[in-house]
Amino acid sequence: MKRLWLLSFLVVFAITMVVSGCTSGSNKNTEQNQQSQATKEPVKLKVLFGGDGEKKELLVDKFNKENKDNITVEADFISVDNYADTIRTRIAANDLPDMYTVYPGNYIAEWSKDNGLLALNDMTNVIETYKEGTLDIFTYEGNVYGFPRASQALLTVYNKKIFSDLGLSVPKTWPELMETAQKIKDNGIIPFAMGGGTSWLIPLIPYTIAPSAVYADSDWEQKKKNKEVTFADSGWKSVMEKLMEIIDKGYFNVNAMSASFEQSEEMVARGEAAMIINGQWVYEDIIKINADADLGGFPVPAIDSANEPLIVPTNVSDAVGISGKTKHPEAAKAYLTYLVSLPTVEAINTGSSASPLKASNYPISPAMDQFNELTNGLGTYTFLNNFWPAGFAEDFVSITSELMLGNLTVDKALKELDTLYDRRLAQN
Amino acid sequence: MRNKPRQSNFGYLPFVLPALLLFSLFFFFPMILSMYYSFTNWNGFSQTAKFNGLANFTLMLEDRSLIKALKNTLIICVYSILSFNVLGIGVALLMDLPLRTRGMLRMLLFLPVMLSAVVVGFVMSYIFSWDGAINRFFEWIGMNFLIHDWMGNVRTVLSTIIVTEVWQSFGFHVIIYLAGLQGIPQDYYESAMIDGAKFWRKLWHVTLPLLAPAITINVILSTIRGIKVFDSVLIMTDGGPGYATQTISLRIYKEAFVAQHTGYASAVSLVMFIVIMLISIVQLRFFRRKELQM
Repeated sequence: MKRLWLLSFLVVFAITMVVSGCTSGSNKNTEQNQQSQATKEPVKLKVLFGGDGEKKELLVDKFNKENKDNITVEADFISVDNYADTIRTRIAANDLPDMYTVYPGNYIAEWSKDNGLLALNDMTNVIETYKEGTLDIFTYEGNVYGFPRASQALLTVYNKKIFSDLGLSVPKTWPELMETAQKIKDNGIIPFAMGGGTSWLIPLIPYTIAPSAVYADSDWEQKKKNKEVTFADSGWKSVMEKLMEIIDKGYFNVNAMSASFEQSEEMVARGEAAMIINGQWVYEDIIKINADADLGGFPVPAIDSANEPLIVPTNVSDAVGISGKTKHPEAAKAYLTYLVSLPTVEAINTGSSASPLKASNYPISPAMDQFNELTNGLGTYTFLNNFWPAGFAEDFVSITSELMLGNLTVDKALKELDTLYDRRLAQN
Repeated sequence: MRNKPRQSNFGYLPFVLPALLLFSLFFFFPMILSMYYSFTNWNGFSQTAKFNGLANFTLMLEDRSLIKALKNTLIICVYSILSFNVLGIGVALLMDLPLRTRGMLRMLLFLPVMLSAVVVGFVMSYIFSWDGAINRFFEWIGMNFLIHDWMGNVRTVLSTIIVTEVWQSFGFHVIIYLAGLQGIPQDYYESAMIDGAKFWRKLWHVTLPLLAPAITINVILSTIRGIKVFDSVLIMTDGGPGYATQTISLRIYKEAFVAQHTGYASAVSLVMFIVIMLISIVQLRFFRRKELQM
């Protein structure tokens, strides 16, 4: 009886090992697909997009219809929520598509390993179309691995009517911004709408202040990784003190730590709040709630005096790269050229994002147009979390929240950030 | 004396093997692998994992967010146990009364159990929000001083999670108590009545002793439920604000799937598995002894 149980268990265990050890493990391209591009024989490209499902017609159907190279794109569009995990799983399973959406910064370093991404340095005709510096966060060890299709900025979107009714002008320095906020508050309006219940909004204000206060030294991040600098003993102190100034003076809505992102946008749409510090994407959302809202945009004046250089947080995104294991590199490059061509980039961005291409010159939104005018010639720095160790962005949200709730002082919060940053760096 | 022929024991195998296979594939084998990964620095995706000894376990002692999560989980657990069992017995006694509407009341009580945890989380987060039903009710009855940022204040946000958890699962535990009450023979109550026992004496000397098996299972289930709390926290607060509603399950999830520190998450899971097992064994022994005494 006992031997029979043991035998049954061993059989089941063996079957389990075999079944769970099986992986797809094989490149999905078949012999039939291994056609030479030079002979214009049909080529099927498998592409995986993170998001962008609503743009399929422009991104895929139009190319399939119009291209003369006999290339057919088969695209899958998946949610951005678990996109990075999906790519990691497919890298581990050696099952990458021919092309896929790539994320900047640390993701490039990770995904380019083991031929996960093809270097695009030879696509000089495309590289030349980009604004200076926009490809830096998709470059790793001198190789460009992705071409972005949109750029974003963090800014203050404000209600122009409230400003004009109160005789306010766009502040140029931090003290001026605080004075503006006080005047707004004195008139019974919330100065800044904050949706802290949506956790990714918590660090946005530090993200807008830190480029000027800390990253004027553009090597600060590398120095931090080398343990040459610390959060506690750097411009980060002034970043957190500025954030606490807004809280201590009561410039946020009373439910700042529980309101959602959508609720914070509604406050601005309804005129209950005068300003919101967020990405330029909020403009579209607010206009959908209140089409008559008259909104403008200005850079967060994170400097104490007009003599100091203001550095603006911007990001490029929606990049697409080519797998280093694709059997159709030339076809993939042809499709990539289409995706990042001026007409395609402008068509997908109109009304929302800016374009990272030099030749682009189209109105985006009144808020972004005003912002672009005010930041013309200013220095820029990428969104901070692009180069942070995995897991640290989440820690930053928690520590910043604890600071905003009064559970930590600025000094303790910065020490915690140092401890957590070093831990995450060691873990990665 | 002739030996009896041995009976064939193969008959049940075809019925047991499929379930055993699924159990091994989706539970047993991953559990063994997870134990292995808890001693490594595996990130959840790479094909190699470097052995790092007890580093993951010693990190737990320094991890402030995990310590806070443990504290929050214990608070949720204690309140859940008290609510499901003390209140649960009380409500079950009421539901056992010969009321005309008791069928409908039982159905209403059990309705939240059938709802999806995600839906309940979303709805409750709106109810507790600044502009939500609770604050609007206080405004309507003129008690504006009670209006509060329930989910943005560290003193009250954990209570919103506890209320959500208890509201959703309360009916499940009441049904178990109800079934236990209905299994008590009426003879005992009649004897007690003849002896002159009033309500509280009947409750203490008849009802509770005979309800012991239901109490055992409910206490164990509510303990496990309290320790495992995840859905409502993820949907309503994502562990915030700050660390105010971090729980063990949420920390494991975030370390494994957000921070890609799957080895560490596996170590925390292993420790939690051992803790839950020990608590369940202790509770089972305690309550079984009580059952025997009664």
